[in-house]
Amino acid sequence: MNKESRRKLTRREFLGVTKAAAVGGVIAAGVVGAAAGYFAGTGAAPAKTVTRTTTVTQAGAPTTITKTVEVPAAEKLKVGYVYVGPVGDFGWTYAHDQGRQWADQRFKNVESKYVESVPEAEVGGALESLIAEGAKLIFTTSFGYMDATAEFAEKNPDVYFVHISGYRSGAAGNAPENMSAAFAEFYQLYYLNGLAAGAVTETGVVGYVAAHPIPEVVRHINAFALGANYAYKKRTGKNIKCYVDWLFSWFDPGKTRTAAQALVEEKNADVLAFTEDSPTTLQVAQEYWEKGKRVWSLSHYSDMTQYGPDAHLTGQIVNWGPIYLDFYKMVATGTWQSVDIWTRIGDYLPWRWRLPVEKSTAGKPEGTVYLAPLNPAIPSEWQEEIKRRYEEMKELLFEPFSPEGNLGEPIRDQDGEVRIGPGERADHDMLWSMDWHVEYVETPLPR
Amino acid sequence: MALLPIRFERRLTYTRTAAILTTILAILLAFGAVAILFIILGLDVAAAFQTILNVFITPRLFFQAVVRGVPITLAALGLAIAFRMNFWNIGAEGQIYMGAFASTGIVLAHIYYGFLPEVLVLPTMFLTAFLAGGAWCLLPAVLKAKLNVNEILTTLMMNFIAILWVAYLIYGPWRDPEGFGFPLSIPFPDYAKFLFIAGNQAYTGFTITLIVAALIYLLFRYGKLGFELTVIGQSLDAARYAGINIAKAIVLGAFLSGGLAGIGGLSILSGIIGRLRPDLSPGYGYTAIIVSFLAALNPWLIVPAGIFFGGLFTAGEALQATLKIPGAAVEMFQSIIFIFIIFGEFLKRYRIVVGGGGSGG
Amino acid sequence: MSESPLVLMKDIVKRFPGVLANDHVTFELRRGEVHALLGENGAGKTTLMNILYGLYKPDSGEIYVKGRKANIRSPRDAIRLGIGMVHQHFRLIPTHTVTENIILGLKEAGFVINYKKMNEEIKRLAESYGWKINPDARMWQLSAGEKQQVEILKALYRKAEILILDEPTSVLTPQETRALFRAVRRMAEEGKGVIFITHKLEEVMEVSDRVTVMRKGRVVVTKNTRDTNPQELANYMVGRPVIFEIEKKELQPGDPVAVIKDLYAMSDKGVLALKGVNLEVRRNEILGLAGVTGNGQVELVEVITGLRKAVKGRVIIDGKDVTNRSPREIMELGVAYIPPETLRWGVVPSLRVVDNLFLKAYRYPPFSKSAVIDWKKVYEKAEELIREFEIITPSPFVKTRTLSGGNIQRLILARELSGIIGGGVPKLIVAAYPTKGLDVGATEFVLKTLVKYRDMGSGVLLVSEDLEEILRVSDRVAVIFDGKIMGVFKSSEADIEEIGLLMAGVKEKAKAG
Repeated sequence: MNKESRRKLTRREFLGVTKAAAVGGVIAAGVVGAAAGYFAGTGAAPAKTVTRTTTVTQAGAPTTITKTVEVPAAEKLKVGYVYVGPVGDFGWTYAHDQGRQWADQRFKNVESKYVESVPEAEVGGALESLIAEGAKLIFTTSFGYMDATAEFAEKNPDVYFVHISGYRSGAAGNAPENMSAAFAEFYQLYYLNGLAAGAVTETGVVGYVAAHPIPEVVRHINAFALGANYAYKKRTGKNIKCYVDWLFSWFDPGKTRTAAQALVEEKNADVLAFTEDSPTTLQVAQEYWEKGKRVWSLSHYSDMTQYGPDAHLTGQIVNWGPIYLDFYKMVATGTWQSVDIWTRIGDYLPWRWRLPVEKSTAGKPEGTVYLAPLNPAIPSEWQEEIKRRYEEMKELLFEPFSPEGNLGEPIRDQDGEVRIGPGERADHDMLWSMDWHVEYVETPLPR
Repeated sequence: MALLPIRFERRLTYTRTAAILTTILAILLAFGAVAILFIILGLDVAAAFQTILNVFITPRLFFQAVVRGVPITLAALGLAIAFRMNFWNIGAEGQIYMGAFASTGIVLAHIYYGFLPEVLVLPTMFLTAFLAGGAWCLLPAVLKAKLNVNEILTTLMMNFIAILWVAYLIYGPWRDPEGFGFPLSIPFPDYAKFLFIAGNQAYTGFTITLIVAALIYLLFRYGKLGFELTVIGQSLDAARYAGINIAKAIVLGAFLSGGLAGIGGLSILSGIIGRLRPDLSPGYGYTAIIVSFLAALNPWLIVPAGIFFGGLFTAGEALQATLKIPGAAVEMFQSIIFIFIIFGEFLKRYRIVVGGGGSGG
Repeated sequence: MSESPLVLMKDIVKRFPGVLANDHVTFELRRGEVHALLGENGAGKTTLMNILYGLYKPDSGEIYVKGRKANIRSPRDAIRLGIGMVHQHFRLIPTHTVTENIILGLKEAGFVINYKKMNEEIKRLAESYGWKINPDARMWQLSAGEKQQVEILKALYRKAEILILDEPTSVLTPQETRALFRAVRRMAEEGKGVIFITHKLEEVMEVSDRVTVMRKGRVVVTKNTRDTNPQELANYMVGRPVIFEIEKKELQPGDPVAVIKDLYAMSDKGVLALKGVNLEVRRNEILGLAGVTGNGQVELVEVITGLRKAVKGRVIIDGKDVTNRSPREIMELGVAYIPPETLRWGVVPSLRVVDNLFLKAYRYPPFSKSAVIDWKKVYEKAEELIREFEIITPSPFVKTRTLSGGNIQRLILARELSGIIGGGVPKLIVAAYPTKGLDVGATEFVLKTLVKYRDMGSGVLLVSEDLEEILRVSDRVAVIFDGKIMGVFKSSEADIEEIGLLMAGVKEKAKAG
């Protein structure tokens, strides 16, 4: 994939962007557009003219296109969502449904419907049903829906599709123009989680309960291990050890419980990160607290503090709402452009310059991905470090997958081979196809 | 002494009319119970049933029902062979996976080694999917025929092996090298997919199910093997007495049964998904068991029954999309219909005796 | 004094789908009598008694027990009214002892069971009828006759005054039969009433005081036994005069067609059922195999026909060693097999008549070509066979289970003997209990057919539990007991008493005939 898009270009060039060759619809960070779209969306007035300004990256050169479009009268925008799990899973699907509600509240003139618990191989029925219901814009929120979404986009040129967590879109050139792709990226937050973990661990061992061995999860594990090693090595001079337990399932509280306990009991881990759509891992950590053992865990997708008031260290939280709202506006105003969105810390903020550490917003809701509240048990110097990195990443000043994120050392894989050498940074393609573990991960990657 | 004065007595005979009426009644009662569920949920029952009906009368939704009905139907047709000879093949799910595995193998071999002309790829996929599905049913059949090992357990266990085998391939050697590491094979080229006739692959799948149904009809109507399988199914003792080579017939019948489920697996890939992936079947192989019995193992009835179940799945999504019924309620709706149909099948074979009886003799 | 009868069943009507099983039946049982209920299979005897025992509910009609109108809804009600029934198939728990089986389900037994006292009572009860039963024996250790005694004791222990015995002699040796008859007479003397269901005329004459004959769901006649004779009863039963003698040509037996040498085989339970059987069946000969059921007869015919493996020994058919060959190979050598338990082995009841006629022949030309059956030829031949073997069926396409037992047996004869399998007259006919459960007419047809094929050159091995029948049609009789041949006689020289003793294993004859 050599065509890709960026939400925004920052003052220091991000390595990946140099490789980004062709189109990539990039919407100018919210302010102008959001205002216009909001205005359009709330309008109960008859047809009116709206100006939308869109910044598009074409062959690396940003140009600004201003379109004047006719906005139809008070017809409600019909939006459909397809979810892979139940909305009450308190994980992935819950987060998407929260995002849907967030966007609906702000757009107002919208009628959104969803179909939940749709098996990945069977999305056709849900899509046809939503189209039959008159949906103009459909979000398919699981990777497994990708091909079917592209197929339906082909068959229904008058309906707009947004697929979450895949790599096919009109912008990428491997799907029709009425299909976009979007993803909220967590690896930066996992690095910060790692810093927190390395700051509090006493055993020098951290654990990770992981879903499927796909690049997304692999890079999260790596980021977590890098961050944990950064803090732990700085504290003690010793390398962190990270063990992974694979579930081969996105949602399996039973297996998760066993895995989490095994990591604590057998590997002596005292911080547990996880990629699984339930708060089980955090609950297990809390149970250890109640038995007098300090085991930490994190929030995943939404603030899960209530599931482990003592054990909750920090965590990664997503708000899909701004992304959805953006697409609502595009469709409502007729300014659709296929995009491939990949949001990270700093995206969808009113402004994206970094704040001083003492005013840092780390641990507060903002944008699309942000850090869960920081547990005061994290030593203050490490709280500051986390906040500093968080703010730096808003401007992409800091990249975890670089020697800078690894105490100046090149990043090596489990075989000791240097993967990211001095002066290098991981780019989008490397992150998206990561199939190796950093040296601090003890468990081999299943193949 | 039973706690409740209720007993189940095996029916010695039941007429065809009674059987049909029981099935119809079961389905009606099921929808009655569903209506009660909808009322409890505070839904507009008429609108809900209208939505369900729409699935079967709106062409686009109905095509979805057919597309999903095709793998169910193919597996159910295979199961009809097995069940007619009293071979309890619970392994259609695994056979579906093996069929999918084999057809993907042909696509990959063609793409990387190009040993076939493109027009022959799909026919070869059919053949290998059939062979692989059949082979997957062979081991339980041989164990049953030679050692009298219970096939319910073996076929069920083989499901897990098949599912894990496909998972291994797709997380390992068959992962699409350009797929960013996601557990997917490379996409099937168009010549490896069902034809889009009039913009829809439902036609192709439906035609295939009709052909297979016809073949099974002919097998049992005119085939020696069909006759032997029927005799074995009705009376193993009489089959032995008649000098039928039971082991051979069981193995052959099981092979056909598994092979058709294998083609069902192919139809999922070539007809719906377009590439190999884990979780490719959401339990079609198990649904096929119900379909097979609902249709009384009659191949001509299995086709509409399979599509009916495909429609039920689609109706589930339509209900969510139209009436905002929660997904869990939709699953209840489907389960209620399943349970009533299964209970109807039970009532065809047993009668309920309330009171009386006791310990007499 | 005009005492009311023990049982009066008035105008009983019971319909089953398609059958009028009891058509306004009136039946009376008096105190102190043995009342035989005679009729062919399907005449409605068992249905009537099942109604009395509360297993079926009559569609109309009334039942009076000891003069009072009774509403019998279940066997529990029947037992309370003093009615006991012993079924053809025993309903005892094999692993329980005699006492446990008898008191099973008995309310009076209470929670605390005084086994010692009960054992004593049961022993005394049994002895009063001349039976010796160990109350601590487990059911599986008992012979069929003893099991039957336990069933009867079970009813008597519940203070039954009305005892229904359904075909009680079918599993007994002549000696056991006689013991049963003595006990039955004794019960009558005590003032009990015994209903004796049977289709055997000799038994009626021997044991009963009165006899009621049923035919096609109706009562034909009720008579005092001493005022009638077997010939008359048989005529009532079948509705036409029955010829009892089977005409048989005097033929010189030919070469051996089947030779069985020192044959050993296991039963299904894994114990030795055949312990060195030696037999010879010759052309133009019927060899009757007499013996109490369960002494290895079934195992023997199954080894001969290839359905069971021999552990040791040889089976030679027409000069070829076929030991442990497949049923199909043996069948193709010209061995016809009329199996026991017709509905289990002989036919598939759920399939059509034509399917069962061609259960074996479907695979041979001209009825099939390569993998395809030529149903047109099959149907033509089926019509022909149905005519030739007088199978009464509405069409070749009805389910076989709708046929009567006699017609099913005719169907099997047609399939096995008509030559559709191998062509020509079978070399060996193995007939296992071919008349069991059949009415007089069908029995006659079966036996005549066997004789006819014997005359045409077949060797016939006839296994039966009916000694009379064997003596009537066989040229020679072999007696089997406990998996061994106890002796072989020429029928003309056979002595029933001696055969009875051999069947009971009391005596062994060295060699005869």
